[in-house]
Amino acid sequence: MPRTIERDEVYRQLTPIFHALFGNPSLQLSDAMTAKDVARWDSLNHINLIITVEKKFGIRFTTAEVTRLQNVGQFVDAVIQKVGSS
Amino acid sequence: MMGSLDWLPKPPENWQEQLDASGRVSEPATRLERLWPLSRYRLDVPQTLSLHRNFRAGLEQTGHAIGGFTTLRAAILASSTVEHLIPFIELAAFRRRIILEVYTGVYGQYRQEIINPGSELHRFRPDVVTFALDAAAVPPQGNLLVSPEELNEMIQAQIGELSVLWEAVSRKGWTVIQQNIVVPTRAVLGHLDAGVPGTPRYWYNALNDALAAAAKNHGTLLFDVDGLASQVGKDQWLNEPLWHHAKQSFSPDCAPLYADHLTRLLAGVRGLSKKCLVLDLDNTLWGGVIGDDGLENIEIGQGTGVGEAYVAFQSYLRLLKARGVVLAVCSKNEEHNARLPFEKHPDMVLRLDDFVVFVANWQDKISNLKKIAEELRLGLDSFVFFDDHPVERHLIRQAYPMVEVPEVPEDPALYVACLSDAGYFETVSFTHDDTQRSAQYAANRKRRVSSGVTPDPQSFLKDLNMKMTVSPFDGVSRSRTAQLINKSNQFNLTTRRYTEKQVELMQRDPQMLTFQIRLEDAYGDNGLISVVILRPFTGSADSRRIGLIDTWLMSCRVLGRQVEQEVLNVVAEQARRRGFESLRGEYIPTEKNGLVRDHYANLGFIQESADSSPQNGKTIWQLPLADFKPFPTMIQSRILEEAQNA
Repeated sequence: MPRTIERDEVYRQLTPIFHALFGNPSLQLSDAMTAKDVARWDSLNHINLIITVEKKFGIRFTTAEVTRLQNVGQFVDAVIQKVGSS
Repeated sequence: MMGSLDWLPKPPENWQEQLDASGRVSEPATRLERLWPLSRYRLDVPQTLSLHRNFRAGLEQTGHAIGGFTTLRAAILASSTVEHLIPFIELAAFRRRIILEVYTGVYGQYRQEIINPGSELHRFRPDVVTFALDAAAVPPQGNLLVSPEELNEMIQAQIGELSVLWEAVSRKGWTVIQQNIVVPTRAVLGHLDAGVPGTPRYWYNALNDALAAAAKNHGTLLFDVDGLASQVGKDQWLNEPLWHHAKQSFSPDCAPLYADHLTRLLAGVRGLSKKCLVLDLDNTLWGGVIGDDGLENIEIGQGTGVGEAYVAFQSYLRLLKARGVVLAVCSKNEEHNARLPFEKHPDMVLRLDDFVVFVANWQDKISNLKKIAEELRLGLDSFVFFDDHPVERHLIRQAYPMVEVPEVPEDPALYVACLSDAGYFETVSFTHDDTQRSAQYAANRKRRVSSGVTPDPQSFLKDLNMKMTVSPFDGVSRSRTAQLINKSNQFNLTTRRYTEKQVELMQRDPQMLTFQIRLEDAYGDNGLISVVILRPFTGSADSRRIGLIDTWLMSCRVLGRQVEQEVLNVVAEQARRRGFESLRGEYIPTEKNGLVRDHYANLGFIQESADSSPQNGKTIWQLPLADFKPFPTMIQSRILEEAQNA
């Protein structure tokens, strides 16, 4: 039985992760938002983001994805796709 | 769950609010005290990072020194990326009340950093240096057909290279920790790998064995990461995408566990491990309630799974006792009921005499625990409280935040794992004295009881038939000396901490006079109980004539026995022979050493005028040696002038 997840729902669950990881509770996520737009989204915290998202949604990103995921929209797409295929 | 810190309780619902509120406190010391309890939960990655940000903020201004916390500087020299581990490591240290400053060089550059005296590493001046090598940094050599002899030569060459680095680091007085290699599990031949010297698996296993032996020889501490990874499960430990992407040698999921284990060793170097385990009885040492179920119906012993689980737990506790952990009982029970299983049940592993204190009554455990601490003369921060009852755990956590209270699993089959995983009793050395600890505490209680009935303290002391042995620091006792230097809080005039390496350097320094003091009495050997370090005072013109008492500490177990008077007799005599004309004593107050505020006054030292004393309540004392008359004591002392070098 494949799971599905709505875009809004992914956003709803990603938001508190971003708030806690980057220490900014007023951050408003958008598809185009990249590391440049967010203080503390550096290469270290990128990894922390990856593993926190993996845990939250019960998925595992591939080596290529770890490198490729650059903005919030790509994260959301990847989560929807992975959750759907798991 | 695999790799998580299961012995820590889950954070409460309002954890984040508590963090926000505490983070707003501006006074650094108060803020740290408010943030500290929040570190003692099983935190996820975002929680770890935000707590870390909060407690680090503001530390720069205070120079990292905050009352009630120990400071330590640790360098991690690694062949992989470790920078991302810093928050986890600093948080794990904070949980142990250590303000840790971590330095990680550029990965893979550690050789240059050690060799070059102008490097960042040398400027950082670490107390401890950890070598973190992963399998890729020490790849298998030779081909699949290599012979065991050739392999051994290559292994020894590899170890030789590492020893050179250890030596360079330890010569600086820095303590060395060496990680072993997480042995890769992927096979070349399959099951044959374990027996064929040319396979990676064989190479790494042999390398780890050789590392452990060489580390022990050299006095380097071994961090058994391979054991840790095996316990977690190596497929869980390794995250291949992150290895290839970021050269992180293990999955960030395991970062809290890795950090906790590394800081256990660091805490061990600082002598911060726990000493006493206080145990509940019903549903903790056996299944059921002795007062209700009776001797026949409690679950202990072979035959049922639950009964066997309690046997296994008791057997583990006996091992802990044998290695020097002091066991005590604190149970809500009628005392005769509580004793019954120990006296009458054939399947009990533990016996009454395995416990130094046995408290079974109906009073609250908060006051009982305090009583146990007083009886043992141990600070509450030396205690671990193990109780299956969540309410009791909660009460103790509230009343005594300094006591470690593990989340006891529901299933007694997991009790051993809980205690072992939590690592409260981690130690960096293991000596003969440790194995005698329980007997020493028991003998001490006996002495105190008998001193209670003897009307005349002088004759009590005389009957003790005390024999003191004083000798300079030596190789044989170095571990125990360092242990005492790092553990003593109450009877400690200056609370200066020295690592084992630094102790060794002092032993070799001809300028210094070092004293390690042992005490035997009618009840047994108390082991090493006091340390004094004397160095020439360099702060004034005719300084060479003044001997500065850098360190004077004593185990509280021998308080009130005239030991300090007798120690002064010996120290004064030796100092005089060395040409010193006076002794200079310092008292640096801490939260814990109020006991020795008047130490020097009681020994006839004269306080220097108040205006020459610096702030912080430090007091300075002088004792002219010309007219010093030895104190009469009931202690016979023997002075060994030659160190037993090793």
